Amino acid sequence: MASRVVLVTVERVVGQALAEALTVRLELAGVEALSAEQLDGLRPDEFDLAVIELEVPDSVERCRRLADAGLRVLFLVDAPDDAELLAAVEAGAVGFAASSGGLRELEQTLRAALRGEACVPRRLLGGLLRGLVQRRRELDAVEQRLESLSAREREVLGLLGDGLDHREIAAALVISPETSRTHIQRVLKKLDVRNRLEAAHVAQAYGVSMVDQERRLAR
Amino acid sequence: MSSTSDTTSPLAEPQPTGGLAGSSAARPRRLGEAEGDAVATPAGARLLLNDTAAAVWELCDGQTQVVEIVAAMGELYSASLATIERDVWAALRELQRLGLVQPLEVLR
Repeated sequence: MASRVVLVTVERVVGQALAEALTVRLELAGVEALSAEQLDGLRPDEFDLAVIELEVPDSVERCRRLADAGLRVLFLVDAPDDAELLAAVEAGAVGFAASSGGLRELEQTLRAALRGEACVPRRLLGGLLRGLVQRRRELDAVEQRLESLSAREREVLGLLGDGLDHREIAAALVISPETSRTHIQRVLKKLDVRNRLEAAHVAQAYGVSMVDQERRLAR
Repeated sequence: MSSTSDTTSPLAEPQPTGGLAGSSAARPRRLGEAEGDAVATPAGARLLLNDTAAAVWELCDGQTQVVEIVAAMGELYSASLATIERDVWAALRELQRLGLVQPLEVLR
């Protein structure tokens, strides 16, 4: 079945020109060139692939929304840095097409993306993999720090993640506010974070919650 | 994902597949220099590696473990980790044969 592709570029005329060229070359059912704002009104299930220029405003967030809805997203990039590539992959992008590669390369990349393959141009692959290695190390480091927490400190972290302040934590755990403060300070130090907000983010990101605690205690 | 291919050296010859499982904790270190899309060996040959081999070569910084390379590739490609691991080791063996990574006992 012929595929439908949506193209979103900074300059809409570029998207329209690409749409015309790609419709013929790829024998697509349709290629629509949209503005970033029009993309927000898009029904993801009506398309097979979205191609978004990385420089489009909030392109990564827009990618995340579409990818979460099940649409494959390919980024059209010029000279992205490793952090941008990593953010795009984390947002669910299936790959990248380099605008410097020309129309023929874009056509091949789109074919691969429509076949369900991951597409990363060779010159971007090393940097992206380095970024993924680095991110994995950071995640492992945080997990190790979480392992170093005592059961009580883990409870405190879970409550911080639920948005409680030190008095509420004291009340929940039936301890004094001073003891609550001490536990919080130890948690911050062990996690190597600057403040409670950062600790709360860690708790949320790693699923440390009181529900989790109660499940562990019940074992 | 595939093993190395090359346009300027005899890379097409069959590679052994058994008995080469190495330590995933190894931290291979690359040799040679990037020259555009090609890699220059210390011996002066200019080789064109395929995407997988080129990416593995770039990640061989003496710090990154083989298991980290495999995990990073696993996040990008839908192939199974076992397949990716096999391809990474195949690429490493070829890179070693070409003199593009420091010899590692575990690769022999």
